[in-house]
Amino acid sequence: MGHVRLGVLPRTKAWKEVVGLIAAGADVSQVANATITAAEKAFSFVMDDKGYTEAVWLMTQLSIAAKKDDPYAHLRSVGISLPDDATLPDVTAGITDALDRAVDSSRKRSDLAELSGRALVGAVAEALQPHLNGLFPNDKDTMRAALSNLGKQKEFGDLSRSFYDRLTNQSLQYFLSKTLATQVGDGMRFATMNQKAQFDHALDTHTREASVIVRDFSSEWFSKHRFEEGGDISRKSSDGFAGYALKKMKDELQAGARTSAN
Amino acid sequence: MQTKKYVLCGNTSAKGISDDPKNDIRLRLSGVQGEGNITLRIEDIHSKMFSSVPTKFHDLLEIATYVYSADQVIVRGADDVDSFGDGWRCDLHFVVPVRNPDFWNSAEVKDKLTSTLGFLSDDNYEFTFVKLEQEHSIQDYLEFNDAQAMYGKPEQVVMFSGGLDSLAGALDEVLSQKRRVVLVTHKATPKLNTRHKTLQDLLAQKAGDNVPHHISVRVHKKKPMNREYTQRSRSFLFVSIGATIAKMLGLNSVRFYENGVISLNLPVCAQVVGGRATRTTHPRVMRGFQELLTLVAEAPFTVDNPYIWKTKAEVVEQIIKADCADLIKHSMTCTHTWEMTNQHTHCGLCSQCIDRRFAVTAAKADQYDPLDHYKADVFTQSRNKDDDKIMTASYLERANQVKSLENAGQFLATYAEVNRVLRFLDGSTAQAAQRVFDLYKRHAGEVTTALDEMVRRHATAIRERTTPGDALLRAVHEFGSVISVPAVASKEKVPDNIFRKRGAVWEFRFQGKSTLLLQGVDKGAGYINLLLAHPERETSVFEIACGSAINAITLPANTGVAPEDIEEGFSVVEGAPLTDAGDVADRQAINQYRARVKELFSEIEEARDAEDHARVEEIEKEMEFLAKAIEEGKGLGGRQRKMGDKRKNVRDAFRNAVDRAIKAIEKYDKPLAAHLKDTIKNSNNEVVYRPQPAVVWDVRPIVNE
Repeated sequence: MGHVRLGVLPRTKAWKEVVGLIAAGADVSQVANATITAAEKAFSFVMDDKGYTEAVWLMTQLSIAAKKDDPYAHLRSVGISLPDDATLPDVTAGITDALDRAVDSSRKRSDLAELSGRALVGAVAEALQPHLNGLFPNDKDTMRAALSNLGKQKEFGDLSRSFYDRLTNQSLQYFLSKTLATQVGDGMRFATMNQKAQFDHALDTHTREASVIVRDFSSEWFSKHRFEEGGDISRKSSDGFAGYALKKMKDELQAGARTSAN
Repeated sequence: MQTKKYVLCGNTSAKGISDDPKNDIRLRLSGVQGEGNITLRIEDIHSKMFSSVPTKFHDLLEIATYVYSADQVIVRGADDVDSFGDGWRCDLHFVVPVRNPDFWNSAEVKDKLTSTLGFLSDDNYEFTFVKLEQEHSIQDYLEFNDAQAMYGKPEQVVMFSGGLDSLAGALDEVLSQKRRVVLVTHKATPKLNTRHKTLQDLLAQKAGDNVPHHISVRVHKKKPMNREYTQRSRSFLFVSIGATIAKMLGLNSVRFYENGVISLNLPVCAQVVGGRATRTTHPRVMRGFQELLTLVAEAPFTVDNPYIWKTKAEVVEQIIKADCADLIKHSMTCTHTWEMTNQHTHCGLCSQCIDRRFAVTAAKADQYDPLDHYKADVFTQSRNKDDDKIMTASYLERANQVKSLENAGQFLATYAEVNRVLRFLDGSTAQAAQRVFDLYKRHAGEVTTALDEMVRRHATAIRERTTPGDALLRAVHEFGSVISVPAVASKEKVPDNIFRKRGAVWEFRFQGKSTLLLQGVDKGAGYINLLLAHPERETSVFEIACGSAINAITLPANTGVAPEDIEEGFSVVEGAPLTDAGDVADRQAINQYRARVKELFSEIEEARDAEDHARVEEIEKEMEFLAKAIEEGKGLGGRQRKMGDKRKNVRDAFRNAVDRAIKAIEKYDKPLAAHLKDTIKNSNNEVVYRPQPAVVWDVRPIVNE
């Protein structure tokens, strides 16, 4: 009981380059770029991934629901069931359930689906938390008010940015966690755990800064499509957004977005 | 997801179901219809215990055995990064003969079975239940043994792995609550038999007249079938056997004892997704088992885990409180049973061993858990395997991260997996979230407490650096601090444009942007370095090839700087890097060539100044010859390098090397690649770097830092 299955990076040319760059002391932007390049094939399947497209769809629907007369009814229609006096854990657990159901029914569980779920839950929790009074709101209107914020153009941009920041960061760490810890020790890239933690922190900063490009694009896209589609956003539009937003994020990271972590 | 596999159980036919029979897996339980490839044995059943059970339980036992066996037959391809680990998950369609096909084929039962198993093992399940043709008795799987005394009617069935948690649970039941229990143990390997027996005897001594009854379960598969060790679906078999025994005893519950941190098993790092962290006693799985067993029993059935809110250190404290600390060393936690020896009962490096060591240390009980039982000491020794290094570092990093979180909201955002458990715990989701956060906070506190204690004990070894450089205690020396500040702030201004060798790699920076690294294109990077060092100077490619070839010999790290540049004052530190002449076949000849090349560098300058083109060409020819001789003398990787004996070969090799280097640069810095493409001009045998406007480059190598 309690087993954990871990893996290491394969010894192909592209992944050896990633490992070599880390060992030689390359900064996070170059390591991120090399990782995305090495993982190009894995990322090429992203639009076939039910978990990823469903996560983006639910993100758009959380914002669409905010402007509906009965937001909870709209959320229920897309699979997110919330009690009247919903708390933050009700919302995050509701989203997790909805995603799991969609992925399970398609029989397409995947690691990317898991990473997408983590990113969405993290982004929503981050967006709602400042508007709530801890885990136990005083009244049921608190959560409704917090959710209604997500319907604003700017707020959708922020939510989307947070989602793509987390998704790319988690995806990069999905690969990099198969090698970073092997380079900890005296005379190695990271002499101490603290140095490795600083690298992780710098990678967080790097993806967060790169995600600015998604925020601007997302808020404009959301406003335009909600208007054109009469207050709703279709799955087709959402899928189109999912493909383009991730491409923008990848391109930005591959262009070597500068970070303050250098 | 792997391609679908059909698992045909017993004598069922694939006709009309499977479309590719040669890929099907056939599983057959021995004793059903003669010799099969799986054997199920439930041992030490006391004859007084036995009573007939409903046939649905008999079906359940067989279904669980088939699911568990299939799990070990199919290899999980977890490490395929090109598909985001797609091969980890299996798509399984079982065809199982049962006594009650209508019951098992009902939507409610199938849904409960597939959703619980799907979450447990991360696989897709589909079941087709067909009518069993040849009935047999459940006693075919039971081995009766009345050697153990029965001390009254058992009140509780407890799953007993022999680990610290189930040991504490058994002691709790027997000593504190004075309940009569049956302990059910799955014996996955005979290696543990002696230790199980010792633990059983010691438990009996402690129990007085309330000795628990032990039942062992073995599932034996023919050798070629043991291909996958992960056993993600093991607890389904375990609980099915426990429930069947409970039913025989007229009970309606089974109990697991597992600490909450292991039950929830939150990922230790980003690569651990889904079922990569086992969900053996995850609350959602326990609820699924409970609901399935309620359907099978046609009456409420309970599956619970009283230790869900305890950490492992708290479990250890419970054992000590029960005055049974002497049993700790006989319990078995290690998951790497194949590494187990009589001397070393624990590997010391698997996730469970790490958690155990931290727990006993945090509980101040490590004196009861001798270090010499561990093959490796996680605190003070090197870890050779990469996954062991990752496991240890990730375990610590998670504790450090949890410790830094300020509230349950941040915890939910950071560990989204928690959201999968909230609706399966007592109380509201908010209450459950807070309790899970508190549990993990306590665990993180215990991890850091244990670490502090070990640092204190080994402070001298850490300071004197007598522990290995990658030992955990050395690596965590600054553990706990997120940002460290350099002791002396660097005031050196980094030049805007850099192209230089740094140690074993090339370092470059253009127009003040990030400093990047280049590897695998040493030759071309060396040529570019030479060109950037001398802008506007038209140079023969043979001259550069000669310079580079000489450098390859005199400077093993291949600094890329021509000998005359060193004389001109490049800050190459003389010493170790210059002393190794490499693998030269005839060092004396090479030295003579080098000396001659130096002369030719002077002569070619003079000939150019005098505009003596015939002499320049003559010198170039001689340089070409020398370059070839030196290159062959050096060799690469022990092989003789053939430069070719024509000028064109040298020119082509030069240009190809430069092009490869620019292409490699382009991956990380497109503006620099474009700049180099635009400004490095080739014409016949001459090459020149001609930037407009001028760019100042720092090309000095850094060979010792």
